[in-house]
Parts: sequence; C-alpha cells; structure tokens
Amino acid sequence: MTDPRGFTGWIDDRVMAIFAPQPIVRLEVIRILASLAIVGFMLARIIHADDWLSTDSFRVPAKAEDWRQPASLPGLPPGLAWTLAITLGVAGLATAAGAFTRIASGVFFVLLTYVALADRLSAFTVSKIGPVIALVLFLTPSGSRWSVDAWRRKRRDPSYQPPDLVSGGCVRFFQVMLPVFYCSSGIRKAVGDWLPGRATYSPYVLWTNLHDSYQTPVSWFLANHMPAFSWTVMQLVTLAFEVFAPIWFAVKWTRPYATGWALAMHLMIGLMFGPVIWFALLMIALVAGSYLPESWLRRVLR
Amino acid sequence: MGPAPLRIALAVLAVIYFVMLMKHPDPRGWIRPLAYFSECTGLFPKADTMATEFRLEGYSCERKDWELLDPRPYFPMRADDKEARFQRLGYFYKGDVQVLHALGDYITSHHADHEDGVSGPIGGIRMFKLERPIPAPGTEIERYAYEPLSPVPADAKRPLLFESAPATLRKQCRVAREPQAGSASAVSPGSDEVETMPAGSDPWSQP
Repeated sequence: MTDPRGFTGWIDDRVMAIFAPQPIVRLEVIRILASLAIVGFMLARIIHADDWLSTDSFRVPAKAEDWRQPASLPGLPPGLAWTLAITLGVAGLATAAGAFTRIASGVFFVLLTYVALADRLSAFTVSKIGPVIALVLFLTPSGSRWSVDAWRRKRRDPSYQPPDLVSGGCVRFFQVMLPVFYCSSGIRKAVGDWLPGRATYSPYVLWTNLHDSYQTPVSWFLANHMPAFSWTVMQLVTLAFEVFAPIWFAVKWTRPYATGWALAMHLMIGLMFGPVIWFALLMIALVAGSYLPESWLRRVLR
Repeated sequence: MGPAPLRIALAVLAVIYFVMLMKHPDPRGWIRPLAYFSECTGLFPKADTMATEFRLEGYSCERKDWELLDPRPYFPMRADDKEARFQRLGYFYKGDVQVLHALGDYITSHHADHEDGVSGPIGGIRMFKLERPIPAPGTEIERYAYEPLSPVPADAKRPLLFESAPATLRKQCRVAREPQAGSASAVSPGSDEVETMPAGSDPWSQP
C-alpha cells in the first residue's frame, strides 16, 4: 500500500526511526564488554601504577606549548597513584557488573580522563575513546538490566520489571560513532600510504608492520605462509570498508556484511598485533552491541 | 534521560564529537585537552620503512666505555613491547634535548637501584634508534624478540639521538668515586651540561 503522505512521509518515518526507542540489550552488552575491554587494557598499567603515574617514575618535564602533551599534570605520590589506579580498576569492573552503575561509571569516566591526560607516554586509542564510552554509560540508564543493580532492585521490589527499551540516542550514539570512526580512519589511511595512485602508495603497509614488537605467533606464521599479494588484498579491502563505512552500516542490505567484516577485521588485528588486542576487543564490543541482531544479544544475556 | 533541553544539549555534544573525529581541531590553547581525545583515528596510516626500537647505553665510570643498558627496570610497564614508556619516550621526544637530558639524569640517579646490565656507576647515557631493514614481502621472516642487551645486528643502522655531555660524564663519575662528598644523585637539570657540550656532540645540532 502506498503511503498517502508521499515522499515527505517516508522521510519523516526514517527520521523518527532514528530517535525511536532502542533495545536496552544493546546498551547493556556495550556496558559489560566495553568496560571489561577498557579494564583489560588498563590492567597492564594498573599493576605498575608507580611507573605510570607517580613521582617515582620518569616524568616528562613540563614544557610550554608541547604539542605532544594535552595537559601538564605533575606526578602523584606513590600511595595516591596506587589508590587511584586500583579505584580505576574497581570502578571499571563495577560498571561492567552493573553495580552502583551511575556512581561507578561516573568515577570510571573521571579517572579514565585523568590517566589519559596525566601520562601521554602510555596513552593510546583505548585511552582516548575509553572516557567517552564511560561518559555515555554514565549519562544513560545503563545497568538497568542484566546487572547487580537490577538484581538488588528486584529483591527490594519483586514486582519490578526492568525496561526493554531506552531512548534512541543511548544506542544511536554508538551506532553512529563506529562508522564515523572507521570513515575518519579510512580517510587518514587514504591520504597516507594505503591508496593506489597516490605518490606515497605502498602495497605492503600491513606487511611492513609485522616486524617489531607488534608481531605475534599468528602474524609471524601468516607472514611466512601467506602469498605476498594477499597483504595488498587485505589492505585494499580494509581501506574500502573503512572509507565507506557510513554507507555499509546505513544500508540495510550491506549492514550484516559490514558487521561481519568489522568483527573479523578486529579479531585478526587482535591476533596479529599483540599489544593492540585490547583495542580490538573494545571495538568488537562496540560492533557487537551496536549491530549484531537483537535476538542474538538477548540469547547471550538470557 | 532528563528534560528536552538536556537531551538536545547532549545530542549537540555528540555531533561535535563526531565532527572532531572526522576533522581534528588544532591542538592549541584551551582546546588542546579536548582535541586530544578526538585524535584517535590515525591507525597505521603509513608504511614502516624500517623496523625500529630505541636502545640505551650507559657510560661505565670503571671501564670508561659505553655499554648497552637495559631500560626495562626503569620502565617496567609493558617493558618488552613498543607500548613501553621508554619506547614511547623515544618516539615522541627523540629530538628533544631537554627531555633526554632529564632522562639521563633519571637513569643515572636510579642506576644503583637496578640490575640493568651495566655494573658499577655510570656517568651518563647514550640513546640511539636501532633500525632494521624490512624484509621483502613473501620472504621468510624471523620471530621478533626485544633484547635490549643483544649486539646490534650487522644489517642495522643505529642513529645516535642523544649523548650525555663529556662534562656530565666527568662530573658524575667524580661524584661516584667520592661517595662521601655527596650522594650519587644526578647533576641537576640546568647545570653546565648543555653549555659545556662540545660543538657537534649533540646529534641534533648536526646537519
């Protein structure tokens, strides 16, 4: 049957769909998996809190207008550094468990922001997107289901029914963030060395990154067994996926393939570039929570 | 999630964040900390031309020679890979004499507390970048291991990034020989290191 409102009605429906309530399971999967991935990344830092944040470690001297330093924060006394690092880990785990989620995610956000600014030398992509994710978890009703908070509330009030849906923006933020992130990353690759036809083009960008401490047993094995052209093929497919990610994820027919490719790509990144594994797991968490079918997510959290 | 104005404000903030992910603002002034959190999408944009790692040498006061020094005891976090703070320091500050002088002071003053491969007191440090050629695609490659005390491979280059000034070496070794005259602490920053460095001994002053 034809929509009597015509094309404008069709547009209205599409726009309203963007802001329509979304399944809370998506938000909760991201809360659990993303928080764990961030804590996993931070763990290597937390167990060396004195080397990370304290005055006992080497601190880069404060310099005026140092482009490398987002802020100039002094080192902490060792006891305070340890307290802060342990609190960060506990807040992250509490967020993942959904225990006192609003407080835990707020503390998680503040401390992630602090440590990202306090030590540039140990800050990476997870350090920068981690606080943003924690902030969103703080601002949304994350922890309302599949959480310690929900369990406690149900014990107090057996008639309590946790919500099935949340405001659209709570989930849409992550669903938009991912393709924007990929697209930005793809453009930077294209203006770097990834795009054929450019003066700086290299067909073996991936290959050249396999020869230092990022190398894992998996990447070492693949480097010795895969034909040389396969590195170029992976490079071009990755570039096409990232640059056009907003299209792949926006169009209904390509979305499942984009989701599958994103998960496979991050899995391979995690397996092939050792220290990057936590970034890979974080992105897998965001992709899974944002784009895997709702029924699959419900089945996992059942 | 709160009243409509709050929701609208949050939506606007989200859009600003997405725009910043796409177009990083200039990290200047008050916006620098904010811009920093959006500078996270430049993932492996360039091909490596060399496989690199940063290494240290300490000047042995007893043997009067430079010896390979293990930075891992001083930077124990992720010590064996390039996410170690020492490797990142080399990456970010390889051209920064002020920061590398501070590193020299730090290593020298903490040397007695660590097993770093150089026995006895040291007078200063030397930092260099080890650059190994990347094998041709499709050829057999060796398993990589970070071994900061292993000899520099024959096919590797080792551009010097920093060397403590001769005056610093003399001063530190003199302090180490006369412990009663003072602790083995490093020469304080801002001393005569930079001024007395012989012309040309700082690699960054060379063409």
